[in-house]
Amino acid sequence: MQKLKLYLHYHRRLLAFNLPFSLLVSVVSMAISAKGMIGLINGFSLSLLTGSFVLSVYFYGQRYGQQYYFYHNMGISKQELIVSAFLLNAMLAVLLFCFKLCLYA
Amino acid sequence: MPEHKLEADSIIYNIANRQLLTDIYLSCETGEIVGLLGRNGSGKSTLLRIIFGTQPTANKHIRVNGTAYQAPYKHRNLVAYLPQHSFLPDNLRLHKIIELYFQEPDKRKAIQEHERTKPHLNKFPDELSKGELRYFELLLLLQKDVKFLLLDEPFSGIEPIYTDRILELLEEHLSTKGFIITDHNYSTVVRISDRVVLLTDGACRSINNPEELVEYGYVPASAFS
Repeated sequence: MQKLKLYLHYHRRLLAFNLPFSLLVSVVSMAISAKGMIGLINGFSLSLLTGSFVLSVYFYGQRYGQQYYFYHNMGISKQELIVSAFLLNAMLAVLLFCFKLCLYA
Repeated sequence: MPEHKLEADSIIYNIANRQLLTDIYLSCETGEIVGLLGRNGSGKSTLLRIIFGTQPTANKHIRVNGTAYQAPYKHRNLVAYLPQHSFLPDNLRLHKIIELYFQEPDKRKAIQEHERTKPHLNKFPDELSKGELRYFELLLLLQKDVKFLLLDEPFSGIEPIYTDRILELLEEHLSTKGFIITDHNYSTVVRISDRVVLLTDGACRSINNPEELVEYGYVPASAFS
């Protein structure tokens, strides 16, 4: 439970970088897609798991790299943090996918 | 209280084409403060990170009580590391950090009701002075049940009153923990350490009397005159 809270905390920190990039991509995706809302969800989900995610890890490292020791002192490695953040994003993408299915069912 | 021994052996670390650490051996027992001195760029922080397990290296052998660990920090209750710069998230208030770090009510209470922490519980880390922040970080790590603490420049840039307060804290926990301390405030390190080791030319050299620091060119000859 304690570790889960730390994973969630790291995920929230990454989202601060990830969300603006993903939103930007989703708006562009919506603009160029024939089905606006689907384009938005697809663009957002894809960006959340790929480019924006990589950028968020990079920017977090640049700005808050020292804070990895906050987690290391609790026995959590950098790889575990990144994998957990990715999985949480993947869960978010699955929820958005379900929402998309409901929307066009 | 059972004694524990941390040994860092055969540590080799290369940076570019230069061998920064060449076959290092360093040990520390619980109840002991080992002072690690060395000039800028000699590899003190790198050595601490290698012992902690977060710095990949060409070769290392870290043992606690004879058992080898590849990444000691992943094993709870072994080792904690206080890095040179603050490691606390700046978006959490101190009371939240305490709650995230400790589930045990007695540990939380020990920090929350500490006379020097209590007034700052609702503040963010960057609202504290450097001395207050360093003190809080150390207090946090000392509450962990680790056997060894690696302190990277704990006295750097803090006022003398906080240096003494930090020393008091270390003494309080000395019966259950071992400390490896590196700092450029060599007079304090020499004063508080049971053993002093100088990291020079990639190797650890035991310092038996402070004058040897002059011989190795770490401090000027005037330092002890």
